[in-house]
Amino acid sequence: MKKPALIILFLVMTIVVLSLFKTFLANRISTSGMVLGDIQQQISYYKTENAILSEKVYSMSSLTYVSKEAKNLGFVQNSGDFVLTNPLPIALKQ
Amino acid sequence: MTWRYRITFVGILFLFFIVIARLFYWQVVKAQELSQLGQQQYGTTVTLYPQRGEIMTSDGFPIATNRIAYQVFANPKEIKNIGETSLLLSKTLGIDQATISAELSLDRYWVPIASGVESKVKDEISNFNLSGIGFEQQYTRFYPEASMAAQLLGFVGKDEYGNDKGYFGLEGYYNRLLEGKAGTAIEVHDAFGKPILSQISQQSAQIDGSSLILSINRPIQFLAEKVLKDSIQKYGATGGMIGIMDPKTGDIIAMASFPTFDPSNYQDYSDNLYVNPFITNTYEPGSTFKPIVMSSALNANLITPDTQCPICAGPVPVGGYLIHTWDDKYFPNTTMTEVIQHSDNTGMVFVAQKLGLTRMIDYLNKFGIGNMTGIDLQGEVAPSMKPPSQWYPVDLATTGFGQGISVTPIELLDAISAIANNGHRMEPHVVTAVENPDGSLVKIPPKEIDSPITPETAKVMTEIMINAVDKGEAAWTKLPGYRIAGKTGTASIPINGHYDPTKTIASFVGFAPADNPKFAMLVILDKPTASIYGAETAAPVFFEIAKDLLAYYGIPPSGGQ
Repeated sequence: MKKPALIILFLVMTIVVLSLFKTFLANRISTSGMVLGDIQQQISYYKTENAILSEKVYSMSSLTYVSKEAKNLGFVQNSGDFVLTNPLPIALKQ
Repeated sequence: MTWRYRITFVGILFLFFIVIARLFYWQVVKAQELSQLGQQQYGTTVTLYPQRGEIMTSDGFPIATNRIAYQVFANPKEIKNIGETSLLLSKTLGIDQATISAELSLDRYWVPIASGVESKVKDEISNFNLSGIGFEQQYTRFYPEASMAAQLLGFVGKDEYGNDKGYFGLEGYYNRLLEGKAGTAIEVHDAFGKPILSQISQQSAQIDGSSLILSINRPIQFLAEKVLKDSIQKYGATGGMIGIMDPKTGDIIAMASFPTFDPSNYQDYSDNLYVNPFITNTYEPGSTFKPIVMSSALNANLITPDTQCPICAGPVPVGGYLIHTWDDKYFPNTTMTEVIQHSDNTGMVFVAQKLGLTRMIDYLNKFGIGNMTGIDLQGEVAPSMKPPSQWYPVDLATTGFGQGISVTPIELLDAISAIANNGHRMEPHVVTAVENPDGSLVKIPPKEIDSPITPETAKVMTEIMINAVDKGEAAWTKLPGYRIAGKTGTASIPINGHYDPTKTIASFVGFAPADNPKFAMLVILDKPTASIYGAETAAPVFFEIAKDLLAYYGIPPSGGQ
């Protein structure tokens, strides 16, 4: 009769230990959903921020914008290129 | 007693069979339906929309990309003050207050107010702290260079299901590549149907669209558009177009046309501005067609550059018509080189008659006339040539100088590029590579379509075209020191069976540097009023752009005339 009592006690103890462990674990991870949510929100925020900044970069580096700004700043188009059509002698052989 | 055992046994077996059959019904036959029912109890299927691929110029700059925008919606049942809310939204969104007010008065839980709203405007609305107003993030097409290359790009509109779809140009031609594939996911919710904080489990991931890398050179495209716009104004033309191509690869370097539209607000423009005239407009090319016919006859060894024209002393009678030169000046015994130099119609009648109908049609086919070039843009057309039985003697004669035959600008540019490329005709294309969402690059190699003429003929024809630039009608505007091959064109416009004497299509086609061409270019001005001649309108535009292109590519003068 002793053996079944030991087994029952062992099982009961196991259940108690496991229950406590489960409670501890549940307590530990109960807020991880919120953390996960925060991280997801942050990712979403940075993605949005990145997209908005990219849009600004593209707008401000477009030739349409650059040429408009250059005009406002008083830049003028180069009227002509200077090209040497024939190679000039560097030193004449005496 | 045995029969009782048997009946009991059969009865139990029968009951087992019923249970198994029922289990089979629920677990196999109805499995999918029950699974869906189960899913509906704990989650909702949501569609994950892919991001549309970008379109980049050769320098990697996205001329069509995506930007974050918002859809503003309202729950009318939660709106506290319809008058105040509609007034604030109306001022911020620029929508009529009555329209918003009508939407907010509806007996619904969700009504859309506006879509494509910029994040700045969204923040402004958020600051009002209006109850019952919400935002949904979405992506809209964004064109950093505004209307640059609009007719080349096309635009993104909606299909019959309200999804994004590309129309015209590259957006239309490559829509399936650019749009990607939508995915689905389960959003978990509680017993009351409210979403709970949990990661969305994806059933099938969305696949973002692939990006296109173009052969379009952004600074050259910008230059071509600017010069074209100024020239249309300067010469009083109703419109115009410029195409610049690398004759060795078929890469389209720039393709500009005016009038055009803004792809961001395409709905504000007339439908006929959506099409790209460079690949859809057909016109009689006039004298710019002469190098094609001349090089065909040279290639067939029917003439040489020094062959003299025996019929060029005056107007030439053909099939009951009298064919004149454009300025009624005649040069007896003129050579073939001079025929191109003077743009002599009678000389080209001689060449066309020498060539004959069969050879003429054969060569034109090889040059791609009457066939689509295969350019990777939506909407290309190709006016087909008449069958040989329908050609009259006068048709053969006028085709020699580019009248009575219709082409698209891309057909002509591609044909002239074949002369520039030692007789090899390349397939024109705009996309050089496709970048997949995983970053892998698929390059599109150049494709040769045909070799209408030999390299020797191409060289001879190039020299004839250089002579035409140096000594022809457009010599006044040429670039000194450079060897540039080209030909002017003043095409008449057929109206009600005759040609309009006052309106023309002025054009210039050519390539440079002639000995190792970096680009071939076609300039077309539609009905210029300052002068009707290509030599006085389109030619200076060609050389203005060519000058900047040669400087851009760092090509010094080679010592030509």
